Amino acid sequence: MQGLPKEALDEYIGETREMCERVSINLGLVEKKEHDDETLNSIYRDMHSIKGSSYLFGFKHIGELAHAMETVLDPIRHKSVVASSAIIDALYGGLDLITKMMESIVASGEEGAANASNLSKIVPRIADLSAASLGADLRVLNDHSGVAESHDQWRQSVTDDSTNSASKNPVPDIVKIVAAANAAHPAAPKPTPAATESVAETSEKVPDRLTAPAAAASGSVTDNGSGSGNDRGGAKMSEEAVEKRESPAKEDHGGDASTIRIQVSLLDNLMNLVGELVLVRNQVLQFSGKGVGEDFQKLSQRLNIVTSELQNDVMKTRMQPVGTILTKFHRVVRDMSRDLSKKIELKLEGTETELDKTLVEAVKDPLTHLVRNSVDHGLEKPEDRRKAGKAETGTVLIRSYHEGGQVIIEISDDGRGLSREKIGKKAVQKGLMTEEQLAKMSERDVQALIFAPGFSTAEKVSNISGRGVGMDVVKTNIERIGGSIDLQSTLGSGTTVRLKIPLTLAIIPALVIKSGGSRFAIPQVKVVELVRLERDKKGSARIELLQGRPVYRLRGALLPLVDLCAALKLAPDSPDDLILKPINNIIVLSSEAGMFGLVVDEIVDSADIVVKPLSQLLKNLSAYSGATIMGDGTVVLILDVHGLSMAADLNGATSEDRHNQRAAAAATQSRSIQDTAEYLMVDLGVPGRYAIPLCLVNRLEEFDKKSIELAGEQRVVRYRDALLPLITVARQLGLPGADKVNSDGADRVSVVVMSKMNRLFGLEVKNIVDVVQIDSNIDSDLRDRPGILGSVIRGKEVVVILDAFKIVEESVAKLSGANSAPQTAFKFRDTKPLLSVVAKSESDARSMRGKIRILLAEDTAFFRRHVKAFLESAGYQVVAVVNGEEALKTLDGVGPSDFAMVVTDIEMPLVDGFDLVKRIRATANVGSLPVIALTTRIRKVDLDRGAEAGFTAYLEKFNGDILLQHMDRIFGVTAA
Amino acid sequence: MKILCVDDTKAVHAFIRTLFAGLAHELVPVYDGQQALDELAKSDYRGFNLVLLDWEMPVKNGLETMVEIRKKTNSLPVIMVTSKNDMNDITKMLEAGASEYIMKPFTRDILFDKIAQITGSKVA
Repeated sequence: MQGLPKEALDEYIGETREMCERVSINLGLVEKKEHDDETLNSIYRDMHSIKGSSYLFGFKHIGELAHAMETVLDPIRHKSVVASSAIIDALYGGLDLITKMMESIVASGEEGAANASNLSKIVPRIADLSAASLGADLRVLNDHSGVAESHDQWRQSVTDDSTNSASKNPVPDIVKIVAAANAAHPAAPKPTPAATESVAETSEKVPDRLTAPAAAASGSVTDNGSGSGNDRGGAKMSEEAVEKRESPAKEDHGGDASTIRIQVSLLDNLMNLVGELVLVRNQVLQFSGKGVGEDFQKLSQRLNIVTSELQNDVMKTRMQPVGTILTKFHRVVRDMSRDLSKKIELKLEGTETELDKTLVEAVKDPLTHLVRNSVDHGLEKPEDRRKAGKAETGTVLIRSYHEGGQVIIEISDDGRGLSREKIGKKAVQKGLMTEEQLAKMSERDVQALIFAPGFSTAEKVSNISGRGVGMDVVKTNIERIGGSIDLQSTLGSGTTVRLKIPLTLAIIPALVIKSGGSRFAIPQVKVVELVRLERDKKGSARIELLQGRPVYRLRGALLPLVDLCAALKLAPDSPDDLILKPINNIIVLSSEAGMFGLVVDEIVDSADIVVKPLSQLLKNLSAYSGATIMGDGTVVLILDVHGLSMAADLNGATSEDRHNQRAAAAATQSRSIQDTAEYLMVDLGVPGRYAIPLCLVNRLEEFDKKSIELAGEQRVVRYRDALLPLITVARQLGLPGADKVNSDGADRVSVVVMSKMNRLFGLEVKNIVDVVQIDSNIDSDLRDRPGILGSVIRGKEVVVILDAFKIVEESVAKLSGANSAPQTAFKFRDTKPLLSVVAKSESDARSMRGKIRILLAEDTAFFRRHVKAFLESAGYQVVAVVNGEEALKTLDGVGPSDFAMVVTDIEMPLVDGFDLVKRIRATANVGSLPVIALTTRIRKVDLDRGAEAGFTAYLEKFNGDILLQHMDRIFGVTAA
Repeated sequence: MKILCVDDTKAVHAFIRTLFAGLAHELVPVYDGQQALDELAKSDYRGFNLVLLDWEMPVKNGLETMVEIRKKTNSLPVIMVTSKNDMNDITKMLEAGASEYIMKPFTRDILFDKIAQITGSKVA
């Protein structure tokens, strides 16, 4: 390495040589079994030091080699693995190579290319050994009880190498390995049926004459080590067991064993090929269904059976017992309990339960975290346990078992359990919940809060916890591999966390559906049930809209619906269409966020699919988790249920999810809508550009002119089982040229449907032009007649904004006479006037109002801007915020004279108008402020709720003059 | 600055020495945790501005040493030096009271940045 003085390098070389010699001597002791604990520790430490200093001096190859050797040594010094002769041989080989590299460094200052290429051979070998060695200890332990049967089974299952070589028959060799894996834990309390079967099958296939000596067999099992690390609750290995294990192993040098060692990558490749085979099988089956003859059908049946068996067995080669990771927790628990001065016993059950290799690795970190949590937070100190009347020694129990095609791993402790108060306090503190929300939550929901993002950062900020992993990360990691996590806790008696993990990720049963002309696959484990909805004879909808979102009452519970077409943007999102469709196919899915219904066009089939990962380009699409190839060769995308549910922001979401989603939604909303409002550009059939604020528009319709009827003087059309009054906008406004509107030959009319006074009205226009975004304010100086809000500049043209509410009001008043017009303003309570003054003129009134500051809460950009501008033009000072929560923040701690009134919308995200007024009434400094509701919701129930919540007045949106009248009355400003 | 370097490998000491070559800092090498504690005790834990502490050592390892140091003083900055890249181990170190940690192999810049970060004064 450049820049390092020679003395430093000499020091390094000298010391490394010294250490290599020492390791060599110590290895000799180990081989002769004349070693003690310190010998093993010393070897490990020396390799560790060589690794560290080699990396420091920039000798990466030596570092890498030393690292591999250290990795093999670690389980040996912890006595979870015995140093087999194969391991010792490999370590000697490593030492030789290090020595050669040292020579090269002395000679040339570099490690040497030839040595580096040797390295690439030896490092994987050592790495292999370290993985394989984990299987060895199990053998040793089982030899106590099961050595005899194990060897018997084994003898039957091995084939003589000379007559049946590995290269000629790859498939039987795989079977052998499976058999070896099974033989590796013959004393497992409940051997899985599959395992027994496999052994039986193997023995059938192997002729009797092919027997291998038990000794060699035993050794080869160890070396082959299909991976199993059960040490039975940390029981210490007896020397006797070591002897039994060691003696046969010593005879096993030449690699003449009847098993072969296989690279994991080869197994992965096999798995992929079997996946392809499954696809071909599916295609063949589909083809054979088309009446191609009996023989072919029989053949394809046979292919089907063989493929399934092959698939099962290949899957088994990738299986690893969860014990390989669980046993390492003995050390974690021991170390932690010592550090925390707690007495803790770790019990493991079902360590032989097998999982796909990739999954075993994937659950390692989450499990470690959960165990650490139990030890750290779950279990009490001995004195506390004594006080609570429990045994001083706490227990952490990890159980794993199969259930319904999944593997369950449970981590339970008999500690203090989760305290609702503590969690609640913390959640409120962290701003995840309000006290009110908390009070309404069930015990379980409160406990589930510990999975909320940002919740579980440890209290000691001094340490890593600042950057720490929370339970939310554990949850995400488990969900990423298709699993789920669940927690049960009883205060005082303990906590159990339950992980559900799929057996394998590669081949899954799935439901194939069709929507928008494309097929999609949904993992079957997520499917709860299928519901087919037909509109009943009366034609009444079974799907309802709740806050604009479709829901279905499934046995009394509200099931939020997601229209797949809309979610994937295959069709425009129109919840109304769902209601109108004669048949809806709903797939009830369970996601982590709760149950929801996915509306699809057609349910096609169920099939075993092979999951192919999506390419990098598509990976960020949250709606898909992968792709597969169908029987007919087409590619089908696999839907990610969790991703879909998140995208749809479900009502069924758990409360904290919902809270977060809403907060996020509100944040995006306030960001994106802040400065732009959308308008519907319409052609009124007269000169000029006109637009209607889009937030006032319910729907756009086209009616046949012939369908228009007259009810009295009012033109109406039948619409949704009722009569829709039509108002010709140009005529209502009295615009020049209005008479000629719609007198041309067109036989259809365009209508903007809007809602006012709890019913629908149609605004008849000549044409609907476009939806545009305009981000300049409405200039209300150009209001030359009622029904016009003002004008805005868009590009080079002036657009007149129509006051659609006013137009409807005027029209209704004209027809029915002003007196019988429906009431749009309600006063609920009297307040003490602030001013009690008489204004001599309009400008006088305006200057009086100038002293008054109003807080306006409104989430719709158009209204927020418009109402603010209107009130300001009347003289008031206005502070506008985007929702109730913002309003409360603004009011927090203000003096009594800062704001004189709150004007608020009802429907807003986070905190709506009802909540806002309730909370204002409950706050000391602002409790008596007049609060006016300004809303489109003026049904009887809304009014009752408004009065109860504590509004001063309740006005329909939006009649400026009426608002001003009410405000003047409340403030005591009267005209002379 | 007076720095106590604790590592059982002489080569590491040699390496660190070259990093500090020509700078007005005093490096005191010791070879295991017990030696480190003895050295610190001589000055009642006030003689050093910084400790660089290896993890894997004979007699008394880095973690045990760290725990002992924190029993005596909370203000002495200690950087744990390790070639373990195991999260759990790092967590343990920090929980035991290490001010910071660096991973082997490290460079001059990494070490000096870390020292500057926790002592608040530039090394070179």
